[in-house]
Amino acid sequence: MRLSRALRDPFLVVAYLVLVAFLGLFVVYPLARAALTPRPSDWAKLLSSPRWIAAMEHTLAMTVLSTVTATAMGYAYAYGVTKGRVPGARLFSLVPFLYLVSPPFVGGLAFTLLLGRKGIVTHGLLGLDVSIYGWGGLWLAQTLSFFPISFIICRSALANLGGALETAARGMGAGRFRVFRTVSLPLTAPAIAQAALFCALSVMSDFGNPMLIGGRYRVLATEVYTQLSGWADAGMSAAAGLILLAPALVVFALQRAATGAGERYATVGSRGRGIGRDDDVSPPARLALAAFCGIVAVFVLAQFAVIAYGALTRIWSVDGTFTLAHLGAASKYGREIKDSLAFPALAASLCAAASLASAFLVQRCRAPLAPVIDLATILPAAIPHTLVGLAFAISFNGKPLDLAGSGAILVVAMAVSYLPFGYRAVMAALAQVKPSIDDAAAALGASRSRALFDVILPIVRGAVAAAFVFAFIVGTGTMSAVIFLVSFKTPLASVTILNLAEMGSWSDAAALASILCVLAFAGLAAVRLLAGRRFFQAAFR
Amino acid sequence: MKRSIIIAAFLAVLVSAVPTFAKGSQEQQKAQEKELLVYSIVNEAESKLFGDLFKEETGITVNYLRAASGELVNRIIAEKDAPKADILLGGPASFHIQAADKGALATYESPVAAQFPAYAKDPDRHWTGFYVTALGIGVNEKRFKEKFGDTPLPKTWEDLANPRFKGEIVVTDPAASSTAYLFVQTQLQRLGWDAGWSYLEKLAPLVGQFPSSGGAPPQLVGSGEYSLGVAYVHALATYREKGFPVKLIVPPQTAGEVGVVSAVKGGPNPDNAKRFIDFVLSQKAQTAFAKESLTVPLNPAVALPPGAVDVSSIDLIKYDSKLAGDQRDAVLARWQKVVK
Repeated sequence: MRLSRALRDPFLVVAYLVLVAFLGLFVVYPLARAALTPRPSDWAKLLSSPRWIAAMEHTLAMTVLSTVTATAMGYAYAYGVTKGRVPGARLFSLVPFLYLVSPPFVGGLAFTLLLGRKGIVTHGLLGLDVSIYGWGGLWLAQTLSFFPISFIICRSALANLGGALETAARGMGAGRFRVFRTVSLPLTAPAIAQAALFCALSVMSDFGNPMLIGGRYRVLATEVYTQLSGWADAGMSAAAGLILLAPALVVFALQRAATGAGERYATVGSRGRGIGRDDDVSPPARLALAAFCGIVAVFVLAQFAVIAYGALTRIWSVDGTFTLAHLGAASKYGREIKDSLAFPALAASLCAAASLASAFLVQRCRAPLAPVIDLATILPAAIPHTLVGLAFAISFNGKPLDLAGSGAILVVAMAVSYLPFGYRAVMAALAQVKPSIDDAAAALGASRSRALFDVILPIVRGAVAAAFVFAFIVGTGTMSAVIFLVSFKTPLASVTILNLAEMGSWSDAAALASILCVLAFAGLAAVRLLAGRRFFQAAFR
Repeated sequence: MKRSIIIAAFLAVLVSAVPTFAKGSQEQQKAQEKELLVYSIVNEAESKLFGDLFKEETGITVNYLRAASGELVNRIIAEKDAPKADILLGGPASFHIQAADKGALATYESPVAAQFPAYAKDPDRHWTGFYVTALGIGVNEKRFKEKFGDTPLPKTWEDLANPRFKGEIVVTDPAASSTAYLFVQTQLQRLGWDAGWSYLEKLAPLVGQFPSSGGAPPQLVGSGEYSLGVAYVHALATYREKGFPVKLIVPPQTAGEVGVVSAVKGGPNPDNAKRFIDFVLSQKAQTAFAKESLTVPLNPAVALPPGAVDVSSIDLIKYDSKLAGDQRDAVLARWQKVVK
């Protein structure tokens, strides 16, 4: 009886109760409040107007297209830096993280400056006058924006494979590609399904790219923002966000069905881990992978180069005279920058702790209500972060809990928004750990919480660190989760970046974005020093 | 050993979080006399300008929060029972009326506004106008020349609907923004319902994209992504002043917008709020704001700043905002079919 054993451990009981209260108060309650916001007429309008129906069709099409490409790209990139052993793999591993911090709007503008009608690549190098605005450009933008998510998930799965099974297969005479197709690929299938799930949910709920690059191609997530910002219509805004729950739940169920429960895939704790060989890919394949990683990295870095260029020249895209004036102007937003680093750091800690607790209790302890906890933890991924923010603004303004205007509401909103990712990362890592390891710890007399900290945590620390890094990096640049929650006392740099961009001060916006980006990575380096190299290395391996 | 370090680290993080969690209530109690909280729809630089000048004049510190008009109005309505702000600054009267209808705005008739034109004052005394701007056409002359050679620049709304301009025009999406809706209504009101729709049906296929944000057309035209864009003249003028190659055209029969200020009902600093409204309407603040925003000041004592477009020289239609509000659903529904 695993249940009773888990419940005898006082630490886990407390953790369980705290977790349930947290999820109830900050996931279920705000969503329920948001669900009650739209009037029946809003739903009627949503389901009958051709504009909304077109937006739904577009959302569906874009999600399918981008999910396939982003997942594949992330897998290939991850394969390149792990099994492919491309030269400079460590540097290549950092690039996707860089992409995650790129703040909305400035990143989008850099994208148009590279690939737009007057783009450096499209117009300058290729002499084309093409428009990226539309479904094609959006597809490309979404693929690039969300491949890092697939990369992070697939890389940790590929790195954990060890190599014993591949070695055995090669020993039995299978060719390299056959080994990949029949051993490596099936073993990482759960990670691929997981990556697809997150790419799909992210594409569905992203509003920055469609707003800037979608052109006439409208999707639902943009409507969540514009119905509120442009018309002050909270009802339509909430309805547009809530309708995304339906496809999200379908995707969620599909991923479940595809993966199944998985001792099949457990590789950590199998015998023979670590016996790998370093020629998993043939030299031509390795070259192709290196070229692929190189092209992706160059494009990502080019986008940052354009932002840095914008920050250091007089008028972005018009006057290239060097100046430090924009950096000077941006550095005056000290309070905004400080808050933009402190809140995500707190949120990331909260997110990492909750991810570990949730995953361990659901997967290893068969805690009461486990399926409900599982669903509540993953639920925030299914709705646009803008709606999470809106739901918080509606729910925690006045009784019973008044958090409006506090830093706490920002921290919790960020933590909740990124919880699904952290949770699934830890779940995936746990799935690779054979339950026999827990049994061994128990047989040796360890309590469940001791097993968690001394046995499980060291093995899944990479995933926990990844949860932290992801929440911190994304939280630093985010606008969607916080735009309805910032207050007089808690200004955030990302919102200021939007404000600067809206009034045409693109260079100031780029300067502030650059400062934020540099400090975010400096912050990560500091955490790495504090938390110790080994704990942290796993996330960046 | 390692376990205790990790637990200690998490505890440290949680403890450090406590002040953040307590922050809200503490700072509410601390609300001092020398403070004013402004929800600002005017842009970042303009908000800061008002704040700095007001502090200089009165010693009262202005904390502002800048965001899109719809969002701030929604906040004020949501916070009605426990108001967090004193002032709603900027944006068209229609948004302020939305908040007033929900009972979220105070009434105040500033003595400074005595000389202001009648259209700048709310009959119900909720809001007072402090600037005027109008819809215009922005042209990126460089791109326009490359694309269309010696074709003359469009001078009227009719010129804009020239089939040669296909794919080179940006107009904000009326379903996403009230300012873009103003453009659609302007056409319907100046030409009449049927002729207005045939104009829009002619224009819509020429438009390259309909962005959601009102700030997008000046940016897309300024950076040379498109040749022509419809936007507020002051927004276009700001880009021009920053050095972007934008030329401003104000076609005849356009529509204007009066930007207004109002006080939030039950805000934490009601007396400071009144002083702030008086200040915003004063000659000094109006002069500085007009210079920064290139809008037209409403205080008759203030001269028009160089670079701004004089609204009195503009041929404005008599815009019926009540009709515009009543027709909204019908117009937007028909618009969907036109855009398709």
